[in-house]
Amino acid sequence: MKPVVIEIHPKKAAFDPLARQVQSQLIELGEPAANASVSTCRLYRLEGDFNVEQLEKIAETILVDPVVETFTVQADAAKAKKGKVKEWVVDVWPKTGVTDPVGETVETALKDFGLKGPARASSGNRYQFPKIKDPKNLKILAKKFLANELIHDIDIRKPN
Amino acid sequence: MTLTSENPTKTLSTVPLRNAGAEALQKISQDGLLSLTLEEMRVIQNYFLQIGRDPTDVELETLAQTWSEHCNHKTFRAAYTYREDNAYGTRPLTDSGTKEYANLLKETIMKATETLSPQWCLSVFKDNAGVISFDEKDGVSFKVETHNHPSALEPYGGAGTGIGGVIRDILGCGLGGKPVLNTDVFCFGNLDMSPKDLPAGAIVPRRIARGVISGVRDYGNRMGIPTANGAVYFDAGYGGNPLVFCGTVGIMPIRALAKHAQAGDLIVVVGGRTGRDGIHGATFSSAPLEKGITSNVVQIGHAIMEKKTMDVLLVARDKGLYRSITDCGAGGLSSAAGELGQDTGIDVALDTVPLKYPGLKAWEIWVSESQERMVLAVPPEKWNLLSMLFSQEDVEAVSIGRFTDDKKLRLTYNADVVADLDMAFLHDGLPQLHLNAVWDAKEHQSRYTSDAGVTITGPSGEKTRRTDIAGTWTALLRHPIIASKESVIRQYDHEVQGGSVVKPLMGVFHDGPSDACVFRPKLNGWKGVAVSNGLNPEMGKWDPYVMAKVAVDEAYRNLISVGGGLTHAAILDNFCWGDSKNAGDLGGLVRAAEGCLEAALAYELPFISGKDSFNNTWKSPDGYLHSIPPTLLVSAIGVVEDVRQCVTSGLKTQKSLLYLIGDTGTELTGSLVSSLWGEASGKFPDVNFVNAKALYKKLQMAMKYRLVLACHDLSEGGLAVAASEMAFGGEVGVGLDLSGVTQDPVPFLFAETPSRFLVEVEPTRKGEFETIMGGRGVQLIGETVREPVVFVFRNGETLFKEKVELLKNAWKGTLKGL
Repeated sequence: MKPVVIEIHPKKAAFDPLARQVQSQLIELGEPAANASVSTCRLYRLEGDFNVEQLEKIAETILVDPVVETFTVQADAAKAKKGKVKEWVVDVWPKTGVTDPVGETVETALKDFGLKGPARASSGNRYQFPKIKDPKNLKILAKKFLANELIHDIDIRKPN
Repeated sequence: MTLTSENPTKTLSTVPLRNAGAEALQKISQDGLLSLTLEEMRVIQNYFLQIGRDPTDVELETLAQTWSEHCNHKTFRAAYTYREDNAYGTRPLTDSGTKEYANLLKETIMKATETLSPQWCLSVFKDNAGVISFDEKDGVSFKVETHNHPSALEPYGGAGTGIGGVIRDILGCGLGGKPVLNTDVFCFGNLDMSPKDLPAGAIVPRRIARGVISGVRDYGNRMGIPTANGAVYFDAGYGGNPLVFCGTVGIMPIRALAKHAQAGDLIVVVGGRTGRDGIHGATFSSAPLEKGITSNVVQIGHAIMEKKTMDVLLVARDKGLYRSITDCGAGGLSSAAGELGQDTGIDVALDTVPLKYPGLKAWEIWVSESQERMVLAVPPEKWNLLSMLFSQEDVEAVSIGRFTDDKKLRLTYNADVVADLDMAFLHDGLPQLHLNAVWDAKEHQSRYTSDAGVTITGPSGEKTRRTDIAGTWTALLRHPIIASKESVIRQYDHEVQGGSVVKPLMGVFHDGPSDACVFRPKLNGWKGVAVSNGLNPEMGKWDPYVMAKVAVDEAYRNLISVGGGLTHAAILDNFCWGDSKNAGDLGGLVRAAEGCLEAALAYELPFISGKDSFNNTWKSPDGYLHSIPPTLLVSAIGVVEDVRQCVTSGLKTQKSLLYLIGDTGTELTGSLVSSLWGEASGKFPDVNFVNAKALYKKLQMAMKYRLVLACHDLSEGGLAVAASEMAFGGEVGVGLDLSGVTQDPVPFLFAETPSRFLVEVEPTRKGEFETIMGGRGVQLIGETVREPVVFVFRNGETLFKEKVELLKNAWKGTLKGL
């Protein structure tokens, strides 16, 4: 089965501490406060033999805190990556082979969930910037603050 | 990092060493990131010439790990010829101008312990941590170590695995202790340092600081261990090479101190799986930080895995399911299994080691520094029980070999023998270094205190004038070294386990600083443990000998200040030094070690454990090789008989008396105020151990009789800062009367003369307090006042007056967003 990505978003009214932190870093880099709007979501990439129903159940029972979070399932991660985005998006994933404790824990949880057959999981983060005009600061932010290229893969996508 | 699809069995190889010349030997070491010197390579070459074959890559890697600076402390254990070329106002260590050491570590740090050897020291310098007695049944173990280079490259992962590693040291000390406290001390470059001053690609200090703090927070908090003591220091000299000191205190049964693997025992690895993480970490720590580092040296922690491993290990210990244990740290299985089997011998089948993913070569499995692993010696008859227990707790436990009786290290991979070394050669074959150390004070001071490519001034970059008391006072409170560390401390859980008594922040609004933390490792009594630290790299730039004495005094003084451990206290050393090939840096090292010896003997404080980290150097873009400021962290631990008698620093009430304990000198060299004023008097502070010890004893007596309402040690910023911080904690005003002070009142307020305290005493108990304290070095210096202000007057003239609120805002503002 093709890799699947599950996105975990904070609910609209919920406080997003990570976004607040990134926003202040962006402002420190010189981005005008009016343009420094940020939202974030957690990403889980799963590889294994799942159907859509199972994926939704996995997201609901293992990955999401239903009080403050919602989720969406991108059943075809590769296709979703090539799709249109309305805003600047930065995805950060651990490089292959780098220890990913959250991913490992999800793998264990998948087994506990009763899934049969091998399953791989990795965890990442997505940062979305709806008001950025000039990506100069954003690119510095991505490489200097959001990720460490020694251990992370970074994927920066512009609105298209 | 990429995974190879090669068949690992085909990647085993021998290294053509026997016929290699000097150049080829050096190339083998460099290309393999082995960090072995030519002399060491020649010793290895001779060994293999004698046994008539070339080494395998696994054997060479094993030797490199075991002989690394990290595992063997070869610089500190070296023989030294110390020469004084120019003392230039510093105290000569020798009349003849030279001094020989057969082994610097043994003749200084360890000598102090050997000379003092109190009965309550249960295990020193031989296990993963030092242990002192707590009560009749239990001992407290303490270990502090550094994780500098990993934290420079990946601050979050480096710092997290730093704390994870030192927690495992406590689990691997004796048969294992329960971790009950974490400490953390960080030295960062100035937060506003520009990338232009740093090596290309280096992470800026602000980001390093945030990553390191988050790493320690997440690992410590997830482990359920309180982080309740520490310090944060800033200096441009740490710009490209931060220092991250992580410490853990544990409590363990005294009966669990002894451990011995026996021939026939199973070698069992428990906890996390093995991957490529941290390969060459031990040899990497022996090298300077330069470009071209790969992700392999970075380790990422998995706190939940370590927590599960810790919990089940302590159950297995109490059930007597293993005979010996150590942690998998630097050097991985190579060091851990090699150490446990040093007196017996080991047979390990590398293909049985559980892997995170396929494709690792045999030597990678053997030296990988993947985290959260421990190695046990399990009697065969206990294996089933142990295996079942670990399985129930969802922690992997795998037998990978046996201890033997032939004193050989033998490794196989898919039935092929890939290593066959004599334990004696592995552990005793390393040739001792003979190093030259030179002390040229003028050269040392000029190197560390002048501009050498980056701004080596005070971290705040702020300047004031001697005549501006108000400006100096607030500039000191804003100074990052002095400013409130609340934004850092609040991220740590210092309450978990329920034992904390004196917490890092105390006072009316829980935001005043503490000199040391006090906690109860056993909740069924009032006995406790106090932990503190002493650190003064600024003085190290002038004279590491004075720095060491001042650091020991500060650590001990902080214990005394909270009422802990006058006669039942021990210390740990952590040296972080610059270029191990620079005779000048080594001259400073010898002086610091001598300072440690002198202070430890004078205060009767045995060193119980220590660690050193060399080659903390970095190149600025102009090509200048910076050594970090010579840095010695002294961590102190003391047993408190009754935590209810402990004292905190916040003022308690109005109209009480304030006493300055200890004499104030006129020297300003090495103080923060001298960097603000841009001047140094040339005189160095010194510690009068005899006077200080007498005062400490009396002060603890006064505390015992409950005569002391509050007590705060005087350190950076001197009397002015101590009085302000006491006011912050108590939300009470302070009036200081300097009419009785005969010296210049301005430096008197800001001097950092060691061995001093500011103490609050109830007026009705004045007589009792003065009787106990008696004699020299005790001066009534002021009182607490109703109006929330801090003011200073002398002979009717007001020298300084400011609202507590404004001073507190200045103090709390600097690091608010960190």
